[in-house]
Amino acid sequence: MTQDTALPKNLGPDSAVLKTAPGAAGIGYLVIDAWGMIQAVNPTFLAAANPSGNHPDPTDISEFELRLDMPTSVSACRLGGRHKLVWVPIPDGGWAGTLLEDQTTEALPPSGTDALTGVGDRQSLPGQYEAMRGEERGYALFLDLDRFKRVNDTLGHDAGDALLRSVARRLRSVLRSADYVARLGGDEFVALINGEVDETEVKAIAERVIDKLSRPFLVNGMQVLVGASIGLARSDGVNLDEALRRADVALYESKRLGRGRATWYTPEMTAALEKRRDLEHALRKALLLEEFVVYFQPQYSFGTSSITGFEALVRWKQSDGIVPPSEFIPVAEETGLMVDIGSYVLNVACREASEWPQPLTVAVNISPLQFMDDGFLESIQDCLSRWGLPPERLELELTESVLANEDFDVEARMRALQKIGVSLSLDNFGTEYASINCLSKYAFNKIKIDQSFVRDALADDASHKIAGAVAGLGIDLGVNVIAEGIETEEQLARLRAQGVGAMQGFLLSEPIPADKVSSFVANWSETQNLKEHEA
Amino acid sequence: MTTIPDERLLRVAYFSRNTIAGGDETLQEIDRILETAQTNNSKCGVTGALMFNDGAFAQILEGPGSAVEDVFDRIQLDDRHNDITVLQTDWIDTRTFPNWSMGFAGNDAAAAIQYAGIADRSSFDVEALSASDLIQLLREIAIRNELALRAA
Repeated sequence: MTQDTALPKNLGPDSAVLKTAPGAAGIGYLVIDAWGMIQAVNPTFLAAANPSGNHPDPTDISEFELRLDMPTSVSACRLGGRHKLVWVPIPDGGWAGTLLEDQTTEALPPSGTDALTGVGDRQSLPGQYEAMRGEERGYALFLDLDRFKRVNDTLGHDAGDALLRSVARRLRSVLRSADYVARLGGDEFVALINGEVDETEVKAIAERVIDKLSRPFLVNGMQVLVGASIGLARSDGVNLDEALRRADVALYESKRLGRGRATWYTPEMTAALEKRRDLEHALRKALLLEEFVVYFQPQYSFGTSSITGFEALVRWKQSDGIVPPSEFIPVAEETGLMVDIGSYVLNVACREASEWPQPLTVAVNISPLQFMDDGFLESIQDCLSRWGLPPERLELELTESVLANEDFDVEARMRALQKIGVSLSLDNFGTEYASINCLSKYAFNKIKIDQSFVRDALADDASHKIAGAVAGLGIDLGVNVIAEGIETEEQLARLRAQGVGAMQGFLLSEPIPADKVSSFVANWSETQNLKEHEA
Repeated sequence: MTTIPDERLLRVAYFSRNTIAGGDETLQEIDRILETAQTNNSKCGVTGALMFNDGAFAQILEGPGSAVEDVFDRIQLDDRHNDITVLQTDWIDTRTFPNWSMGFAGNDAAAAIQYAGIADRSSFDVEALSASDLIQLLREIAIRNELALRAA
């Protein structure tokens, strides 16, 4: 106790803290605050930390501090010599450490610890869960990092591991000492939250976790941004597996709603999930049994006063009727089945178009998943050569959500497709993310004004103006503008007046089966029910 | 945290929003931050500069890579700020800030007087630091956010 120069200045032997710290009981102890700053330490502790005098200066707290990690639960850590330090939480987030003689010789950390991050492992959860349930109730928090795969893929697994260690540290810092954290594997963590808080507080804790994990990380000298989604479930009356299953279902819902959020489990989620799974199974079966059929809706050009092509539209024909696309496309997108369905439609569309009597274009909807698929370019080329369809007759319709993907070089893929000779149109313009900027940034050959702007146009002045502005922009950029969903003569007249170059909609024809296309085209010149507008 | 002597030096600059209530509370908290920074960071060889006002923090950390990463990570746990934006990460050969300095960067005259003591204690000299473009940039952002806060 002679050298006190290395002590934080409020902790010298003469400081009030040290003087008031009782040492008579012969038990060494140390108190730190929530930031890891030493608030009190008694002489017994300092003496015991250096019984032989061989160790570095025992009063050098800063030296000692370097060997300490912030405690996160009631736990023991071994010090040099024959002592261990047992931590218990104190109010305001601080910790009191009591120095005890270490009777054991086995090495820390104990079993049940995840070697990578130092939090609990999967095997430790059942015991912890039972202990928590012994105290009335508790909660399960299921956490999954957002965008973690990208870190592993681009910076390597060492960086991924370093990130996981930081994630574990941040998690423990937000959770209270009575809570338990474990890593299930990969980037999945589970926390068991002690039941002394209510659901509102648990949600607040989860949101603080998300806030902390959304803050930047530094890994290998580089900034890494991830994020987290969380599912929450109560433990009452259910075993660990069920509690985790529920929290996982709620986590799935958090991701579905757009990630970066925490959601409480509700029984309806399980029902909805089961319904989605049933639909997914039915979709797989439908692919196998070729229950998907392709209908074709004609497109008409005002400039040439003729039918210029057809849009291929998928329908699901079941024994008891036709399932509208709106009921199965979202699930197909979510489950990735859309890639297979899309390839099927593409193949049928190209096959049919190759048999049409005139060289009309065929427009095929491409889902974001399909567009980004590694083999997409090749599958287009294969399809064209298989049916001998000239590339300029194939038009791919992309939605605005394709453009919103940050992780994918959309422009490069678009250029590659256009190099093959197929043309690209921007579908449902105005309904999602695309701004006017997108039109000049991405070189689309055609813009399709969404039908919501066409339909509401009579009632809604704003929609009216948007449709007009897009048409004008198309003319300026030299891009074709087509309006879809035209149902009345009035809509037709107005959009024509605004400069829209082409149309598609019930006024012209509903989508028709493939075997009706030839007769529709042949009969078209006779009916010419749009001729009256050619003035 | 042990420092590997020949470990490469990393510099990180970030900006964040000050969420401390303001007034005396800010003074106390800033005092605390300075104390923590001086004792903790110097132990692991991390030096740098921290500028603050009632609206913002702008900080530069320099030191061995792993130590800077550790300190940065601890800073992320702090509820006294949010909206952390990393402006620069760079491997460097020599430190621009071999000590710990900390000071008020803002136009609010009353606040400048209130916080003057802290700058004195950490030998913070905004004029000397202005030589660095980075500092200049951080300072401008901090001041802009001080004003934005007052307008809000």
